[in-house]
Amino acid sequence: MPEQRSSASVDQAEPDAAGLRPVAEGLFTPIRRLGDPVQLIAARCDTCAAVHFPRRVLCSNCSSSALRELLVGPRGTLYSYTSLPDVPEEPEGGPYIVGQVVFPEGVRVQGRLRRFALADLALDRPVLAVLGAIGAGDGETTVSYVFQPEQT
Amino acid sequence: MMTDVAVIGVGMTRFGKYPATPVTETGREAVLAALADAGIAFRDVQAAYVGAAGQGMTPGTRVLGEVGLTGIPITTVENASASGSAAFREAYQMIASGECEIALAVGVGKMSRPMGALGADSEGAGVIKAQGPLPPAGVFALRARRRMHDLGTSIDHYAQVAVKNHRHGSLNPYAQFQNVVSLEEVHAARTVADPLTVLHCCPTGDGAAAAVLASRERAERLGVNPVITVAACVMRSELYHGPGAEEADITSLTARATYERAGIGPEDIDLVQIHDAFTVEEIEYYESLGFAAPGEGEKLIAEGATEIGGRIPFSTDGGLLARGHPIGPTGLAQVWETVTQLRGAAGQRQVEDARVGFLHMIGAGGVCFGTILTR
Repeated sequence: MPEQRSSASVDQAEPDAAGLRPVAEGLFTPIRRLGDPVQLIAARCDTCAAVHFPRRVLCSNCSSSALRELLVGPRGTLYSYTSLPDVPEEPEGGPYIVGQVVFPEGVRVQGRLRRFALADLALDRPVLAVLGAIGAGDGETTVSYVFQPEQT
Repeated sequence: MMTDVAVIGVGMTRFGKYPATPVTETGREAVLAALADAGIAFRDVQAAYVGAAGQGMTPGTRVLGEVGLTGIPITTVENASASGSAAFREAYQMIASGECEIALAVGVGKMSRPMGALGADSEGAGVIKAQGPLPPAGVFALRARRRMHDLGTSIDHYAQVAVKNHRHGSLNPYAQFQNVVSLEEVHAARTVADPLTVLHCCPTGDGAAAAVLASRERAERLGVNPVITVAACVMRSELYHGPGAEEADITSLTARATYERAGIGPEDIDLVQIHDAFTVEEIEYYESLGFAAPGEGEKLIAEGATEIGGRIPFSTDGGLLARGHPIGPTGLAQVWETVTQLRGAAGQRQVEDARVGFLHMIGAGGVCFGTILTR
């Protein structure tokens, strides 16, 4: 069984001691060090078992409010990707590549792809969700989940 | 018992970039063209719906105030790209329900001015940043790449859609793009979202379109010939789907309901207008509208079946890719094209003996419209 926690335990709006500020509250955990694996904070419906990310107040399948937090990842598979040559370079360098990752818990999530060599970009390959920098300023680093190749 | 509804007049402006022209002006032009086509005066109109997205408050009364102040109910409707289709459906319902005999549907759009962001007030900007913001082309690039992987679709198949729809657009004096493009030009164009180049994407633009709807009885009294009737006009919104299902499902859902309401099937359709904002979509819709088995849409474009002159022509006016897509009026440009075809008045792009047309429109956020017009 995947670990379940109450949603009240998640509040990461403030930057931590290392100046890492999550781009949005309650999306991923833990926020410790860039490059560390992270899990996505999803929700599973107790009534119909549908999984949602980001979390919702009501289940979009059955409108039940009986949603329970479900941590997803960090391992998934690459569903698809696209690269956008017109978007300026990412803070960590490299092209702007966005992909969708399917997690075995039953959810597909879009996010940035990092540290992918051209040869790594194969659909259905394993990927790992890690903490990545997506912006910086005022002594803070804005962080999000990003996807990198999972070494098998 | 519902009243039978006819489309008795259509009008539109040529789509393009007119940054100095307000929507009140393009809207007035389209409305006057539709009224003249119907042979009625604005004072004969009993209700009006105006489809517009990102045009500030009350574009409906602003546009129609240019034509006259007659005291009728005027409602602005917004369903993103399907705003014009939504206006058409509201006008249709007004007549079908017996509330009035003549109603006007208008769509206006001006994309050369920045619009409000999608869902800006309902979703955290942080969530969108986390997900990696993508322009619409990026979303469809993801769909394209997955289909290429699953079904062996080649980039040539998608590019052939752009070539075909530009060829159709070259025959339409109201199209934004009236130039033909080659397969090589599609491939060599600037990449927007790999694997899609800019020629896989519809342009932004400005323009307006309008349609006059009337009860069948009123149409006959007015001496309209041929009478083009609305056999079905259906709307659906997104249905929950798990991570495996694709977004095109909303089209299957809408198509089934539209065919059922009209009591006919894909085999009875002579021509189709779709939401081909990206080449990727047209091949998906061949399947979800019932013209190809799942996974076999590529055959239709490869065999030329969806060309004018082919078995089932798609996007006969150039589609969103070439005719253009100013958002508000796009669904009504589809009505304009279908009515023109069913009257046998489409000139060089005429589909031989066209009697039944299907119109499909998608709006962001998750809505879909299906309409069948018959002669």
